[in-house]
Amino acid sequence: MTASSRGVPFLLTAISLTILGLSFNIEDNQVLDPSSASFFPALIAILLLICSLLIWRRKAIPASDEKEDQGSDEGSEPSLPLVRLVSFIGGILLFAVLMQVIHFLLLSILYLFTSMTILNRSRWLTNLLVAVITAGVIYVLFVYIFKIVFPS
Amino acid sequence: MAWFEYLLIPFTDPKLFFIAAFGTFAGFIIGALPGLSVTMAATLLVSLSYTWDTIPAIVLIIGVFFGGVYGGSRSAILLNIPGTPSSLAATFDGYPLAQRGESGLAIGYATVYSVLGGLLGIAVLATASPLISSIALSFAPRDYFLMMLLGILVVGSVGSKDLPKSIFVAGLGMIIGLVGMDSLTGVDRFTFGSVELKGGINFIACMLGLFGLAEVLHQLRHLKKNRMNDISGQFLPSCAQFLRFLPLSIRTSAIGVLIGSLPGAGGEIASLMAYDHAKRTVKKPSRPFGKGAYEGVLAPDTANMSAIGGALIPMLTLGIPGDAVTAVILGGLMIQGLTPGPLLIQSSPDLFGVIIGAGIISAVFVFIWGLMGLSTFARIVLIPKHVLLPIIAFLTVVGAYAIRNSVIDVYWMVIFGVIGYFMKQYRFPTGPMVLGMILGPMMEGHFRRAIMIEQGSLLGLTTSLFTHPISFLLTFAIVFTLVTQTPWYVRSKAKLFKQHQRPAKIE
Repeated sequence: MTASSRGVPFLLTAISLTILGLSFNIEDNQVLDPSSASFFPALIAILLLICSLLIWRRKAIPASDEKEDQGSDEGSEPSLPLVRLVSFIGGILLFAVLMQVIHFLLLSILYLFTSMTILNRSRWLTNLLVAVITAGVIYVLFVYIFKIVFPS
Repeated sequence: MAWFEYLLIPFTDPKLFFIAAFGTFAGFIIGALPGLSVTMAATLLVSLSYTWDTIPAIVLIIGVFFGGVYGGSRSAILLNIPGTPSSLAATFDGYPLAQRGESGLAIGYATVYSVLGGLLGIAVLATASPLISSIALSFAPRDYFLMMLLGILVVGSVGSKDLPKSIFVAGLGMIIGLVGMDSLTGVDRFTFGSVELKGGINFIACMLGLFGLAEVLHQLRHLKKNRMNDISGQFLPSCAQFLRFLPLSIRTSAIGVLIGSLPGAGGEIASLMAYDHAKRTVKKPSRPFGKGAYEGVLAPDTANMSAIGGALIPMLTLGIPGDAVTAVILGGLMIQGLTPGPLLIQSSPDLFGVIIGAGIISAVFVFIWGLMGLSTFARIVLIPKHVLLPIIAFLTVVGAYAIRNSVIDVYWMVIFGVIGYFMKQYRFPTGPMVLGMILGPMMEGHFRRAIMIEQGSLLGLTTSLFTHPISFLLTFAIVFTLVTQTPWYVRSKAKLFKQHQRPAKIE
């Protein structure tokens, strides 16, 4: 077990306890009254706590990377570099924020071209062409068929 | 049989006919692309068709369901990579057939028998659903609660190797489903005083994150280009070959419908069981299994497709989704203001008739798209990941935005995408979380109603579980499911099997 996978049962237990605590604090409700709004969440929280303890006991948290590390080197899956993960998520969040500022079609082309180029730098011209065509087709499809109203 | 007169609507309405054809085509493409799931496609379409009327939206999703399940076998045969988890068994004999230069015939077998399986599944759906609905009308709230509980437990025990992980994930999904104002007392739960959270977390946005973005992030690890076998050889099996395999395909279709109708089991298990059935029952296969037997291609494909009709039965008659895709469809129907359950067929016979009709059209279009322009469509599975993944991520953003024209839903989608990515990393199943999100509030409603019927007495409710036949059967099934997961049961079962195998070895 790696340090990160050892932390998972801790996290699960913490989540269960937090939910249990929050269930006890639901306004004007008696947690022991089965028809109240807090009884069912508290029941689930207890179930979560039992499950997290069982997971802890079984030590059944092999991270996929860890399992692959234990296997043979040949054919093992590559792990996703953190920089690529963070930049990809950051790009999506930026897209969501800029949706309200920049015109959707222009932003789509920019987003698609940038992310395709980050993933494969050698074919920037093809990427640009694909980004323009894809964004155009999707824009027409969304606006005229799915009737989506974009903010900008 | 009021629904029967609505059966022809998708055939006579050109718009619906076109939508079913388009949905099947879109599903086929998505299913054929390795890494993109039918669930992801269905979730995207539920969010994008939010502004549509119910009937066209459901026809589109049914088309995608059929096309997507079938499309999965295409990449299994050509690339040895199952396009969807349920097409794993298609790789066992489909890929060896392609390596022998018979990829055309492998696709032909998969297509013809997929259509047969799909149609048989729809036939069972049409005949069994009204019957089950009429039985389900006598269910009390406690029975619904027990059935949903059983559904979650079965998903955990059948769909995943680790029950505590599955139950944890389903429980967390339930809590997410309960966020917001309580419908009975009006008090806020888990909102932290936020106005945004009072209305709850939109589960379609969560699903887009869990099935869409999480998959994209996971796929970012493998950006290598796939290599494909060329399509060659004869396409369609001869009439004599078709008739030869007909009894097997009917048997495997029956397995598909049965397994598909069990909550949580779905096409993945149905196709593996059908493959196993073919292996055990076919004494003289066309070739040894695993080396390109035709039986090994058609058995999992028929079961996989007939499981669609099976999975729709509990969703439409009991309001309990059979798998992740039907959970998404259930969510889509709820968004449209419909309540799937025993009253659905009576209150909306048009919807049921249209679902059956759309299923038949989709099965026919599986045949058309499956055999049309084989070589051209085959190239689709080779779209490079660096092009495909940004497009899918982009679609998930727009899909999340389209639900309520709100950027907040996009943020929820991203949050659940990251959660889903780490769940995949640590081998937590995502399906039970979605089931929990949808079933959680329903379960709580039924539980509280059952408690109120028993004058607020938990003891009264517990007693009623053993005094009413349906409740007793369901309670027994729940206890049995739990017992099968105990180390004691696993050990006893292993011992029993050993004892049975010993005499056979001596012989």
